[in-house]
Amino acid sequence: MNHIDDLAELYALGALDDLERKRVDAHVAACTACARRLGVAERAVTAAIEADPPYEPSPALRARLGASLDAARPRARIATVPRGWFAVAAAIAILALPVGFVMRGSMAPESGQFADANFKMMKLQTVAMSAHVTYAKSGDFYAVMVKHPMRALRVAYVHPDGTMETIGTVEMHGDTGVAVMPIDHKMLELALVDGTTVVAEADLTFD
Amino acid sequence: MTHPPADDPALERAFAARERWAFDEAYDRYSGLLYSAAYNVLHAREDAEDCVHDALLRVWNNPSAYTTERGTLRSFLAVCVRNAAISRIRAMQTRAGAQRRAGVEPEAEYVEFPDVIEQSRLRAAIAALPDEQREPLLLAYYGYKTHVEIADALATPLGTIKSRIAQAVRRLGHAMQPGAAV
Repeated sequence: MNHIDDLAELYALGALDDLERKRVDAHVAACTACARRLGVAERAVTAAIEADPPYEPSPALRARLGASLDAARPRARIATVPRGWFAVAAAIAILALPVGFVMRGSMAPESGQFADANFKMMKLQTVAMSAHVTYAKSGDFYAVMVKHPMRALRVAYVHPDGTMETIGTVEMHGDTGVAVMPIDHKMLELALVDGTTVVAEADLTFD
Repeated sequence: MTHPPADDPALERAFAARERWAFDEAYDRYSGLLYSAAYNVLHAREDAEDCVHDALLRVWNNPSAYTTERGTLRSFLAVCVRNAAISRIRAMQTRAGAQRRAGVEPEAEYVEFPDVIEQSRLRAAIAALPDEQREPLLLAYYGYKTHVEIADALATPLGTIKSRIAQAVRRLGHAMQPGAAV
């Protein structure tokens, strides 16, 4: 992406769609000049936000945020389930998870559609929904699509040390949830997260 | 561990470095502004709190989201939360449209234009804008329209709309600076 130019003011005003906004985020993370321009625009729009009627959140929000931050701290690695045991694990998971999701340890590459010289696609099987992640082999773009998600889901990057970092949220477009994430590095493992529960994981390969 | 109250630059550096105390301090200082930013878009307490919660976690969990070059943490967070609220209301509008097409009576829409812009200084600053800048600015800020939708609604080339919105925001910024004459 070239410099963001007028997109800075559009971003601050809320006049970009989600994808355009994420492109701007990715650019300003690496471009000091554009980050400064965006900061100036954000200050201008904040003056308008301050002029809107003031409200206060409930005290419960602070506690909820604290609990979420604590829950996002380093977690134990989720053991990879050997493929031969997947059916048994899935049956156990169905009984254990009230939301009805099944997590599997790895995902097989989807052959055929969408797989070309630049992109790869992985499919994830669950009981209540189907999900795919399409990603650039360069590691600079990831898109997760979930059919009929039962709840609001987050997409998290699972660091090699097992810690998780939220990199996107699944947003609804009709009955399909979509998360588009322009990221500038290769991620070997992604997770779909419901609240603080990992409901699915994807092991990604780059060749 | 306790930390003394930090001035803004110190708080911003600590937030950028993802020191946990800085998150708590930023929330204590800005939660009213952030919640107001969400509530004034969504007009529903639970949705607004969900929005603030998710937006703050998203920022905190993405180390590259905020750098001190970006400017004030306060403005960064306010715009971040407001943009998240706008994404939510656009999704609600999309769902309501789908329900309507399917013959299902949708819930009441959330979007409403204010009859009066409360703050006189802002009102004066917006009134001072040329018509061709004020209209797209209001459609974006109060109507939650994208620049593509605004160009379509006003039958004006997209590049022209982008340029007019950018100029309007810059003028607004200058007019709202302390000591500026509107």
